[in-house]
Amino acid sequence: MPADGDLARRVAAAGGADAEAENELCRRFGRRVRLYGLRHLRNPDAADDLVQRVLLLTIGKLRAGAVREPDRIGSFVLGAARMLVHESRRGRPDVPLSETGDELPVVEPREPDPFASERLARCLEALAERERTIVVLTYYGDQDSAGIARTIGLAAGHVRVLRHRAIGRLRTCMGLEEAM
Amino acid sequence: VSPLACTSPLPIDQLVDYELGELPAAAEEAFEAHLFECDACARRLDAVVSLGQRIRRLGQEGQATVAVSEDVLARAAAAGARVRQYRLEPGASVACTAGPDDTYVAIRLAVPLDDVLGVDLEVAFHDLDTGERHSRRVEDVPVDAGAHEVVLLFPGDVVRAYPRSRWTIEARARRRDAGVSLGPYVLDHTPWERLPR
Repeated sequence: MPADGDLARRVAAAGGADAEAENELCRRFGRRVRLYGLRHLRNPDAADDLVQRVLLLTIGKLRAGAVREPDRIGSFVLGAARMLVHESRRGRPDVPLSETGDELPVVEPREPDPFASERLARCLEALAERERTIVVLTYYGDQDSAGIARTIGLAAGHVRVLRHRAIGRLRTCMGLEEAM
Repeated sequence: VSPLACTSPLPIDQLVDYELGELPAAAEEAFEAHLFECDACARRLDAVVSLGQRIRRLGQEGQATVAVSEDVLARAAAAGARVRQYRLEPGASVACTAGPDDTYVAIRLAVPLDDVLGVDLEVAFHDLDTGERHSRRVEDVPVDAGAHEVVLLFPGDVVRAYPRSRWTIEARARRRDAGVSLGPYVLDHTPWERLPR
Protein backbone atom coordinates (compact mmCIF):
# COMPACT_ATOMS: atom_id res chain seq x y z
CA MET A 1 0.00 0.00 0.00
CA PRO A 2 1.53 3.34 -0.99
CA ALA A 3 2.57 5.91 1.59
CA ASP A 4 0.66 9.21 1.82
CA GLY A 5 3.45 11.05 0.02
CA ASP A 6 3.43 8.57 -2.87
CA LEU A 7 -0.30 9.10 -3.31
CA ALA A 8 0.11 12.87 -3.22
CA ARG A 9 2.78 12.71 -5.91
CA ARG A 10 0.52 10.55 -8.09
CA VAL A 11 -2.34 13.02 -7.74
CA ALA A 12 -0.03 15.93 -8.56
CA ALA A 13 1.49 14.20 -11.58
CA ALA A 14 -1.86 13.16 -13.04
CA GLY A 15 -3.43 16.61 -12.78
CA GLY A 16 -6.91 15.20 -12.13
CA ALA A 17 -6.65 12.02 -14.18
CA ASP A 18 -5.84 9.56 -11.37
CA ALA A 19 -9.18 9.04 -9.64
CA GLU A 20 -7.95 5.99 -7.75
CA ALA A 21 -5.14 7.92 -6.05
CA GLU A 22 -7.46 10.84 -5.28
CA ASN A 23 -10.07 8.54 -3.78
CA GLU A 24 -7.54 6.79 -1.59
CA LEU A 25 -6.03 10.08 -0.44
CA CYS A 26 -9.51 11.41 0.40
CA ARG A 27 -10.39 8.23 2.27
CA ARG A 28 -7.28 8.41 4.44
CA PHE A 29 -7.34 12.12 5.15
CA GLY A 30 -11.11 12.31 5.40
CA ARG A 31 -10.92 10.30 8.60
CA ARG A 32 -8.12 12.41 10.06
CA VAL A 33 -9.77 15.72 9.21
CA ARG A 34 -13.09 14.55 10.60
CA LEU A 35 -11.45 13.58 13.90
CA TYR A 36 -9.76 16.97 13.98
CA GLY A 37 -13.07 18.65 13.25
CA LEU A 38 -14.92 16.74 15.96
CA ARG A 39 -12.29 17.82 18.46
CA HIS A 40 -12.29 21.49 17.54
CA LEU A 41 -15.83 22.09 16.30
CA ARG A 42 -17.68 19.66 18.63
CA ASN A 43 -20.33 19.13 15.99
CA PRO A 44 -20.55 16.16 13.58
CA ASP A 45 -22.19 18.16 10.78
CA ALA A 46 -19.57 20.89 11.03
CA ALA A 47 -16.83 18.24 11.06
CA ASP A 48 -18.26 16.65 7.90
CA ASP A 49 -18.38 20.05 6.24
CA LEU A 50 -14.77 20.66 7.23
CA VAL A 51 -13.79 17.34 5.63
CA GLN A 52 -15.29 18.36 2.30
CA ARG A 53 -13.70 21.79 2.37
CA VAL A 54 -10.24 20.58 3.34
CA LEU A 55 -10.25 17.78 0.76
CA LEU A 56 -11.43 20.13 -2.00
CA LEU A 57 -8.64 22.52 -1.15
CA THR A 58 -6.03 19.77 -0.94
CA ILE A 59 -6.92 18.01 -4.18
CA GLY A 60 -7.22 21.32 -5.98
CA LYS A 61 -3.75 22.40 -4.86
CA LEU A 62 -2.23 19.02 -5.73
CA ARG A 63 -3.76 19.02 -9.20
CA ALA A 64 -2.45 22.53 -9.76
CA GLY A 65 1.04 21.54 -8.65
CA ALA A 66 0.84 24.02 -5.80
CA VAL A 67 1.93 21.66 -3.00
CA ARG A 68 5.69 22.12 -2.79
CA GLU A 69 6.45 19.03 -0.67
CA PRO A 70 4.08 16.15 -1.46
CA ASP A 71 5.98 13.96 1.01
CA ARG A 72 4.69 16.28 3.73
CA ILE A 73 1.08 16.13 2.57
CA GLY A 74 -0.04 15.36 6.13
CA SER A 75 1.40 18.64 7.31
CA PHE A 76 -0.29 20.46 4.42
CA VAL A 77 -3.69 18.96 5.22
CA LEU A 78 -3.34 19.73 8.93
CA GLY A 79 -2.43 23.33 8.09
CA ALA A 80 -5.49 23.61 5.85
CA ALA A 81 -7.75 22.19 8.56
CA ARG A 82 -6.35 24.61 11.15
CA MET A 83 -6.80 27.54 8.80
CA LEU A 84 -10.40 26.68 7.98
CA VAL A 85 -11.36 26.11 11.61
CA HIS A 86 -9.75 29.45 12.42
CA GLU A 87 -11.68 31.14 9.61
CA SER A 88 -14.87 29.49 10.77
CA ARG A 89 -14.38 30.84 14.28
CA ARG A 90 -13.82 34.30 12.86
CA GLY A 91 -17.21 34.04 11.19
CA ARG A 92 -15.93 33.51 7.65
CA PRO A 93 -17.10 29.98 6.86
CA ASP A 94 -17.73 30.63 3.17
CA VAL A 95 -14.27 31.57 1.96
CA PRO A 96 -13.88 30.11 -1.56
CA LEU A 97 -11.69 27.04 -1.33
CA SER A 98 -11.38 25.57 -4.77
CA GLU A 99 -12.11 26.38 -8.33
CA THR A 100 -12.23 22.79 -9.50
CA GLY A 101 -15.95 22.44 -8.94
CA ASP A 102 -15.49 18.67 -8.84
CA GLU A 103 -17.35 16.36 -6.54
CA LEU A 104 -15.14 14.51 -4.11
CA PRO A 105 -15.85 11.12 -2.55
CA VAL A 106 -18.09 11.52 0.46
CA VAL A 107 -16.35 10.24 3.57
CA GLU A 108 -19.08 8.58 5.55
CA PRO A 109 -18.83 8.78 9.33
CA ARG A 110 -18.58 5.39 10.96
CA GLU A 111 -21.89 4.16 12.32
CA PRO A 112 -21.77 2.66 15.79
CA ASP A 113 -22.23 -1.10 15.78
CA PRO A 114 -25.80 -1.64 17.02
CA PHE A 115 -24.98 -5.10 18.31
CA ALA A 116 -22.41 -3.70 20.70
CA SER A 117 -24.82 -1.59 22.76
CA GLU A 118 -26.01 -4.36 25.04
CA ARG A 119 -22.47 -5.53 25.64
CA LEU A 120 -21.30 -1.99 26.34
CA ALA A 121 -24.11 -1.53 28.86
CA ARG A 122 -22.93 -4.68 30.65
CA CYS A 123 -19.33 -3.51 30.54
CA LEU A 124 -20.31 -0.15 32.02
CA GLU A 125 -22.19 -1.87 34.81
CA ALA A 126 -19.10 -3.96 35.54
CA LEU A 127 -16.93 -0.91 36.24
CA ALA A 128 -16.17 0.07 39.80
CA GLU A 129 -18.68 2.64 40.98
CA ARG A 130 -16.23 5.54 41.03
CA GLU A 131 -14.94 4.72 37.55
CA ARG A 132 -18.47 4.39 36.20
CA THR A 133 -19.42 7.72 37.76
CA ILE A 134 -16.47 9.40 36.06
CA VAL A 135 -17.30 7.85 32.69
CA VAL A 136 -20.92 8.91 33.04
CA LEU A 137 -20.12 12.45 34.07
CA THR A 138 -17.60 12.66 31.21
CA TYR A 139 -19.75 11.38 28.39
CA TYR A 140 -23.35 11.97 29.48
CA GLY A 141 -22.70 15.06 31.52
CA ASP A 142 -20.05 16.55 29.20
CA GLN A 143 -17.97 17.55 32.20
CA ASP A 144 -14.21 17.98 32.00
CA SER A 145 -11.90 16.44 34.58
CA ALA A 146 -11.76 19.66 36.62
CA GLY A 147 -15.56 19.76 36.86
CA ILE A 148 -15.77 16.09 37.77
CA ALA A 149 -13.04 16.58 40.36
CA ARG A 150 -15.14 19.25 42.04
CA THR A 151 -18.21 17.04 41.88
CA ILE A 152 -16.73 13.93 43.44
CA GLY A 153 -14.03 15.45 45.59
CA LEU A 154 -10.87 14.23 43.85
CA ALA A 155 -7.93 15.98 42.20
CA ALA A 156 -8.34 16.51 38.45
CA GLY A 157 -5.24 14.41 37.79
CA HIS A 158 -6.72 11.55 39.77
CA VAL A 159 -9.93 11.82 37.76
CA ARG A 160 -7.95 11.49 34.53
CA VAL A 161 -6.09 8.44 35.88
CA LEU A 162 -9.37 6.77 36.86
CA ARG A 163 -10.92 7.68 33.52
CA HIS A 164 -8.00 6.17 31.62
CA ARG A 165 -8.31 3.05 33.73
CA ALA A 166 -12.04 2.86 33.10
CA ILE A 167 -11.63 3.29 29.34
CA GLY A 168 -8.95 0.59 29.44
CA ARG A 169 -11.35 -1.77 31.20
CA LEU A 170 -14.11 -0.97 28.71
CA ARG A 171 -11.70 -1.58 25.86
CA THR A 172 -10.82 -5.00 27.25
CA CYS A 173 -14.42 -5.85 28.13
CA MET A 174 -15.54 -4.90 24.62
CA GLY A 175 -12.70 -6.82 22.95
CA LEU A 176 -11.35 -3.63 21.36
CA GLU A 177 -7.67 -4.01 22.26
CA GLU A 178 -6.71 -4.43 18.61
CA ALA A 179 -8.78 -1.47 17.45
CA MET A 180 -7.62 0.98 20.11
CA VAL B 1 4.92 6.98 7.17
CA SER B 2 3.46 3.65 6.15
CA PRO B 3 -0.31 3.53 6.47
CA LEU B 4 -0.06 0.00 7.79
CA ALA B 5 2.04 0.40 10.91
CA CYS B 6 3.17 2.94 13.43
CA THR B 7 6.57 2.80 15.08
CA SER B 8 5.57 5.15 17.91
CA PRO B 9 1.85 4.74 18.49
CA LEU B 10 0.04 7.43 20.45
CA PRO B 11 -0.79 6.16 23.96
CA ILE B 12 -4.45 5.39 24.61
CA ASP B 13 -4.44 7.97 27.42
CA GLN B 14 -3.57 10.66 24.90
CA LEU B 15 -6.22 9.46 22.48
CA VAL B 16 -8.87 9.79 25.19
CA ASP B 17 -7.61 13.17 26.43
CA TYR B 18 -7.47 14.51 22.87
CA GLU B 19 -11.03 13.50 22.12
CA LEU B 20 -12.17 15.19 25.31
CA GLY B 21 -10.12 18.33 24.65
CA GLU B 22 -7.96 17.84 27.72
CA LEU B 23 -4.47 17.69 26.24
CA PRO B 24 -2.26 20.70 27.04
CA ALA B 25 -1.85 22.99 24.01
CA ALA B 26 1.74 21.97 23.20
CA ALA B 27 0.97 18.27 23.55
CA GLU B 28 -2.11 18.70 21.38
CA GLU B 29 -0.06 20.31 18.61
CA ALA B 30 2.41 17.41 18.62
CA PHE B 31 -0.47 14.94 18.78
CA GLU B 32 -2.12 16.42 15.70
CA ALA B 33 1.15 16.49 13.77
CA HIS B 34 1.45 12.75 14.39
CA LEU B 35 -2.22 12.11 13.68
CA PHE B 36 -2.03 13.64 10.21
CA GLU B 37 0.97 11.48 9.32
CA CYS B 38 -0.30 8.18 10.69
CA ASP B 39 -3.30 6.25 9.44
CA ALA B 40 -2.90 3.60 12.13
CA CYS B 41 -3.24 6.10 14.98
CA ALA B 42 -6.10 7.84 13.17
CA ARG B 43 -7.93 4.52 13.09
CA ARG B 44 -7.28 4.02 16.81
CA LEU B 45 -8.55 7.52 17.61
CA ASP B 46 -11.59 6.76 15.46
CA ALA B 47 -12.28 3.73 17.67
CA VAL B 48 -11.94 5.83 20.84
CA VAL B 49 -14.34 8.45 19.45
CA SER B 50 -16.75 5.71 18.40
CA LEU B 51 -16.70 4.23 21.90
CA GLY B 52 -17.48 7.65 23.37
CA GLN B 53 -20.37 8.06 20.93
CA ARG B 54 -21.73 4.65 21.90
CA ILE B 55 -21.59 5.58 25.57
CA ARG B 56 -23.40 8.86 24.89
CA ARG B 57 -26.02 7.04 22.83
CA LEU B 58 -26.62 4.53 25.61
CA GLY B 59 -27.22 7.41 27.96
CA GLN B 60 -29.55 9.18 25.56
CA GLU B 61 -31.57 6.00 25.13
CA GLY B 62 -31.70 5.43 28.84
CA GLN B 63 -30.07 2.04 28.37
CA ALA B 64 -27.20 2.60 30.73
CA THR B 65 -28.26 2.71 34.33
CA VAL B 66 -25.83 4.56 36.49
CA ALA B 67 -25.87 4.09 40.22
CA VAL B 68 -23.96 6.53 42.37
CA SER B 69 -23.71 7.14 46.08
CA GLU B 70 -25.64 9.83 47.96
CA ASP B 71 -22.29 11.43 48.58
CA VAL B 72 -21.83 12.08 44.86
CA LEU B 73 -25.17 13.92 44.75
CA ALA B 74 -24.23 16.07 47.74
CA ARG B 75 -20.89 16.98 46.20
CA ALA B 76 -22.45 17.74 42.83
CA ALA B 77 -24.94 20.08 44.50
CA ALA B 78 -22.21 21.70 46.57
CA ALA B 79 -20.22 22.31 43.38
CA GLY B 80 -23.13 24.26 41.88
CA ALA B 81 -24.86 21.55 39.85
CA ARG B 82 -28.68 21.58 39.96
CA VAL B 83 -29.77 18.11 40.99
CA ARG B 84 -33.52 17.43 40.89
CA GLN B 85 -34.24 14.46 43.12
CA TYR B 86 -37.14 12.06 43.50
CA ARG B 87 -37.22 9.52 46.32
CA LEU B 88 -39.58 6.57 46.21
CA GLU B 89 -40.45 3.92 48.74
CA PRO B 90 -41.32 0.48 47.38
CA GLY B 91 -44.87 0.55 46.00
CA ALA B 92 -44.89 4.33 45.61
CA SER B 93 -45.33 6.44 42.49
CA VAL B 94 -44.22 9.97 41.74
CA ALA B 95 -44.87 12.55 39.03
CA CYS B 96 -41.55 13.74 37.70
CA THR B 97 -39.91 16.00 35.13
CA ALA B 98 -36.64 17.76 34.35
CA GLY B 99 -36.49 21.54 34.47
CA PRO B 100 -34.59 23.60 31.93
CA ASP B 101 -31.77 24.32 34.37
CA ASP B 102 -31.44 20.88 35.93
CA THR B 103 -27.94 19.50 35.52
CA TYR B 104 -28.97 16.06 36.73
CA VAL B 105 -32.05 14.16 37.79
CA ALA B 106 -31.52 11.62 40.56
CA ILE B 107 -33.99 8.81 41.20
CA ARG B 108 -33.60 7.43 44.71
CA LEU B 109 -35.18 4.04 45.26
CA ALA B 110 -35.49 3.15 48.91
CA VAL B 111 -34.22 -0.34 49.79
CA PRO B 112 -35.31 -0.74 53.41
CA LEU B 113 -33.23 -3.83 54.09
CA ASP B 114 -29.91 -4.59 55.74
CA ASP B 115 -27.05 -6.64 54.32
CA VAL B 116 -28.04 -6.14 50.70
CA LEU B 117 -25.28 -7.27 48.33
CA GLY B 118 -26.81 -5.77 45.23
CA VAL B 119 -30.09 -5.19 43.46
CA ASP B 120 -31.37 -6.43 40.12
CA LEU B 121 -33.81 -4.10 38.39
CA GLU B 122 -36.47 -4.77 35.79
CA VAL B 123 -37.22 -1.44 34.14
CA ALA B 124 -40.37 -1.16 32.00
CA PHE B 125 -40.93 1.89 29.79
CA HIS B 126 -44.32 2.94 28.41
CA ASP B 127 -44.61 5.90 26.04
CA LEU B 128 -47.99 7.37 27.01
CA ASP B 129 -48.41 9.15 23.66
CA THR B 130 -47.45 6.44 21.18
CA GLY B 131 -48.12 3.36 23.30
CA GLU B 132 -44.62 2.02 22.65
CA ARG B 133 -43.33 -0.28 25.36
CA HIS B 134 -40.02 -1.90 26.09
CA SER B 135 -38.20 -3.19 29.11
CA ARG B 136 -34.73 -4.12 30.15
CA ARG B 137 -33.06 -5.88 33.03
CA VAL B 138 -30.17 -4.32 34.92
CA GLU B 139 -28.27 -6.69 37.16
CA ASP B 140 -26.17 -6.10 40.23
CA VAL B 141 -26.83 -2.41 40.76
CA PRO B 142 -24.88 -1.21 43.80
CA VAL B 143 -26.78 -0.02 46.87
CA ASP B 144 -25.74 2.94 48.96
CA ALA B 145 -25.59 0.96 52.18
CA GLY B 146 -25.59 4.02 54.43
CA ALA B 147 -28.69 5.52 52.88
CA HIS B 148 -30.41 2.18 52.13
CA GLU B 149 -31.03 3.38 48.61
CA VAL B 150 -30.24 2.77 44.99
CA VAL B 151 -29.42 6.18 43.54
CA LEU B 152 -29.77 6.39 39.76
CA LEU B 153 -28.28 9.43 38.10
CA PHE B 154 -29.37 10.86 34.76
CA PRO B 155 -28.08 14.00 33.04
CA GLY B 156 -30.76 16.68 32.69
CA ASP B 157 -30.41 16.69 28.88
CA VAL B 158 -31.25 12.99 28.77
CA VAL B 159 -34.39 13.32 30.88
CA ARG B 160 -35.54 16.44 29.04
CA ALA B 161 -35.61 14.40 25.82
CA TYR B 162 -37.94 11.75 27.25
CA PRO B 163 -41.56 11.75 26.03
CA ARG B 164 -44.54 11.69 28.39
CA SER B 165 -44.01 8.24 29.79
CA ARG B 166 -44.36 5.84 32.69
CA TRP B 167 -41.36 3.99 34.07
CA THR B 168 -42.11 1.01 36.26
CA ILE B 169 -39.21 -0.49 38.18
CA GLU B 170 -39.31 -3.84 39.94
CA ALA B 171 -36.37 -4.60 42.19
CA ARG B 172 -34.95 -7.84 43.49
CA ALA B 173 -32.58 -7.27 46.41
CA ARG B 174 -29.93 -9.96 46.84
CA ARG B 175 -28.84 -10.92 50.33
CA ARG B 176 -26.67 -13.78 51.52
CA ASP B 177 -29.65 -15.83 52.62
CA ALA B 178 -32.29 -15.06 49.99
CA GLY B 179 -33.62 -12.53 47.52
CA VAL B 180 -36.36 -10.05 48.39
CA SER B 181 -38.68 -8.48 45.84
CA LEU B 182 -39.34 -4.76 46.20
CA GLY B 183 -41.56 -2.41 44.29
CA PRO B 184 -42.93 -1.45 42.01
CA TYR B 185 -41.47 2.03 41.94
CA VAL B 186 -43.43 4.08 39.39
CA LEU B 187 -42.28 7.29 37.75
CA ASP B 188 -44.74 9.29 35.66
CA HIS B 189 -42.64 11.58 33.53
CA THR B 190 -44.03 14.70 31.87
CA PRO B 191 -41.79 16.96 29.80
CA TRP B 192 -41.32 20.32 31.47
CA GLU B 193 -43.03 22.25 28.67
CA ARG B 194 -46.14 20.06 28.93
CA LEU B 195 -46.67 20.55 32.64
CA PRO B 196 -49.93 22.35 33.52
CA ARG B 197 -49.27 25.99 34.44
